[in-house]
Amino acid sequence: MVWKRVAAVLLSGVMTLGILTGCGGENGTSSTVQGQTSAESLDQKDTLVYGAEFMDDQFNPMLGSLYFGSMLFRGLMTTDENCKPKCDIATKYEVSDDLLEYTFQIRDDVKFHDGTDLTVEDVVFTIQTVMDETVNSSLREDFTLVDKVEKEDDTTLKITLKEPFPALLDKLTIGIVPAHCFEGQDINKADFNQHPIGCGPYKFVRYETDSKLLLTRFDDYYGDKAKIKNIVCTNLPDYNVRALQLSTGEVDLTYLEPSQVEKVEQNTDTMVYKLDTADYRCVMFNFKATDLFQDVKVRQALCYATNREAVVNSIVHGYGEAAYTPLQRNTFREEDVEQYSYDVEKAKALLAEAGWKDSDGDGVLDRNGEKLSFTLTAPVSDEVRVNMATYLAEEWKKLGVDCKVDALDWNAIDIPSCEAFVLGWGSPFDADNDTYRLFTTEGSANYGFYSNKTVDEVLKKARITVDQKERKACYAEFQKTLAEDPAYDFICYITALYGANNRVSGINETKILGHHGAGIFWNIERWELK
Amino acid sequence: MMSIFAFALINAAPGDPAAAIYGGQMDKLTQEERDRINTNLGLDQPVFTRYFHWMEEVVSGRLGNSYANGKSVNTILAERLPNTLLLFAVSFLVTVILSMALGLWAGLHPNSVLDRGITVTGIVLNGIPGVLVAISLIFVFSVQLGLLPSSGTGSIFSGGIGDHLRHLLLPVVTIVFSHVGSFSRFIQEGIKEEWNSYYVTVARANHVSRGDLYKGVMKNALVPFINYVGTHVPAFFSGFVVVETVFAYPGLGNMIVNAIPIKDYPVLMGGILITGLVVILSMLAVDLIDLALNPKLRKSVTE
Repeated sequence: MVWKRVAAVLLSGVMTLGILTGCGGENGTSSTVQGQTSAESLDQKDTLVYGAEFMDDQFNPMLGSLYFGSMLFRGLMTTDENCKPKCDIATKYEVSDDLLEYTFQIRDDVKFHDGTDLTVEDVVFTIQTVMDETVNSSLREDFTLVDKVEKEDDTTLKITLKEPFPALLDKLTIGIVPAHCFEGQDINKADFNQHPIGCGPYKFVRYETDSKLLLTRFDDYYGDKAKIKNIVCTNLPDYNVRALQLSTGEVDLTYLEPSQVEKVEQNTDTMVYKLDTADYRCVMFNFKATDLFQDVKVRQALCYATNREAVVNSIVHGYGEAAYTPLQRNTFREEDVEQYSYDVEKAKALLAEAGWKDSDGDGVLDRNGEKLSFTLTAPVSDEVRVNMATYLAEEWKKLGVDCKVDALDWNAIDIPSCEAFVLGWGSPFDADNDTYRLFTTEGSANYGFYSNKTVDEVLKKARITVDQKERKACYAEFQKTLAEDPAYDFICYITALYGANNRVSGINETKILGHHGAGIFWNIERWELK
Repeated sequence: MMSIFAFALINAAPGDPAAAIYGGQMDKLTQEERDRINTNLGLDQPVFTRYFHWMEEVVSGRLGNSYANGKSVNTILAERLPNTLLLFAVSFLVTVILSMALGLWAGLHPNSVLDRGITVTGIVLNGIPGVLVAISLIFVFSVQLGLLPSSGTGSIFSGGIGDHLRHLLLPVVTIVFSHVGSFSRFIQEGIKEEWNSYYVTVARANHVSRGDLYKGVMKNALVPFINYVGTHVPAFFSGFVVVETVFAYPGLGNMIVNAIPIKDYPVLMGGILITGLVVILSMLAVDLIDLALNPKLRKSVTE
């Protein structure tokens, strides 16, 4: 009798399980959009599998930059292999003499993935939406200098600026979306964000949340048709799993950590692309949170006592380059500046010159009763930055500087109130973009409250200068001044490492990438699979 | 009650949805932008106002939209709940069946190798944190042997039920590992206790057959076990938070973990609400089973 009951319980359990799995299956298919390709019919031969460190949370280019944006979307402009803006959907553009009016002609043969034509209205809508205060976009900052966007005629568009902004052309690489998809909808919550329609070489098939993104070639793409038929981006946040799946051939391309390069290179089926990035790490000095850095000699001493070669060799395993200017990967790079090569003696001398000495014998320098002591903050989730902070604190101890390292969660960090912070910055595009807002007194991202008259002047001048030679001269002076009166202690640029199966070809090896190797897919339509 | 407590707790924790919107570009988030986004999301309003607004929506069946990606929470839950329920059903059943088999055998064979083995391993298994088990399993079966997938719910090219089960295997083993020890020990102890009780001694003295004795003892030992299992249902769900995160399994636990640091209220509250509901329903189911098995209880209910 007991056994009968037990059996009944077990049986009902099995039945519940059956019902639940049944539900699971149904829900699974109904919540995804039906495309022509299903997971089962994908052929590995014409499918590129990318093992992604990060996945996009939504697919609306107006709301933020997307990891896979260049596949789905295209903008008025694009960038070439030298990171210079060039026309994409725009056919040509004119700039007024006062640098405030940009007039664009656009192509009339561009189709969205839903078959509708791309019009000037769509472009106007895209830019205006990003500028809208109520839209939760991380790109709004990029367009704050835009005054208005207007349609002139069916193929002409005019953008008026509040003040000259040379980086505008880079910003106009933002993907254009079809305005009709958003009629009467809240942009922040639109269905489009999960089921995107763009005009890029690939169209969206489906996205299994947090796991897989499927894209397939768009045959009506206005440019060169993509050579690879399908792309699958699979979510692999763990770097060990990424390297493992690369070695087994499960993924064709993936982002690697420096420690994995050797093993991937030993495998005859895979290779490593080592791509330069404009992504640098530095220590930001805060001029408001503490008075210590008002004295330029203190900052210079800290810069001299930074062993950049050692950081590159140990913390990033040699895959980086010592940094000395924010424009090192830009055409306006100036090499003739103080590069602060490692020199502890010089650093000590500078501090002594400034009147710092250890009067009470506790190992920490002091002056007028004030100790040379500050806190260096780094985001705890970023191992490289935390390692840099602890390493530098040790190095600076040799000078008698008491630097405490504070590794905090991003949510607990307010950069403008940190005495010093391990900052990550840099973009491969126009020189104005990541200098003006960082180093001018009123700059929106001048978190350390740095202020230097010459820097303000030359950066403002560079912004309104058309002649490239003159601009170069401005940026040269900027870099020299910044080196003498450092706002940051530049540490190093980080190399992006991509492991790829040998069957993939067409990856450009010279393009300068962004943060964490962002931008590798810029020429995806030219990639091939053997 | 639960929702008020949860809401207050989330409110007290640090974090910011603007951080989610900026993602990897946190260095570029200025204070003005942070304030603007928070105002758009209504986070500048007092916590009570926000709570009542949320309650209003819930009553009308809408759980709001995620702050991070604007997706409707109802849709998100519909995607994830089946995955978690599947994981729960499989791991729960395997745990119960396995521990019943082990516990009964050990309890009926006192001082056998299995009996002593269960006592020791039960205590040990109970003490090992699930995250350690999970990482060890990944290390051995995925990294070293390359036999089983370490994350997700299905591979790209194979697909099908077999593939799905392969992905389910390691998470299920992890959960079973952390519960089977204490479960089987409970049965084992129960059987032993019954076996040594007065009525068994009397029955044995009166030459009641061994088979009949076993039946009676098992039945009496199972009733408290079912209650014990019932009280452990919430423990299963809290375990999923760890297991789903380690195995990147797209379920409720993983979703909640991702939503916490960015204070994604709608997603968090939706997740807590649905988990609470599922836990209450499963406990109800256990009570009903208990009722079916326990004549004493049945009598007290019907009378």
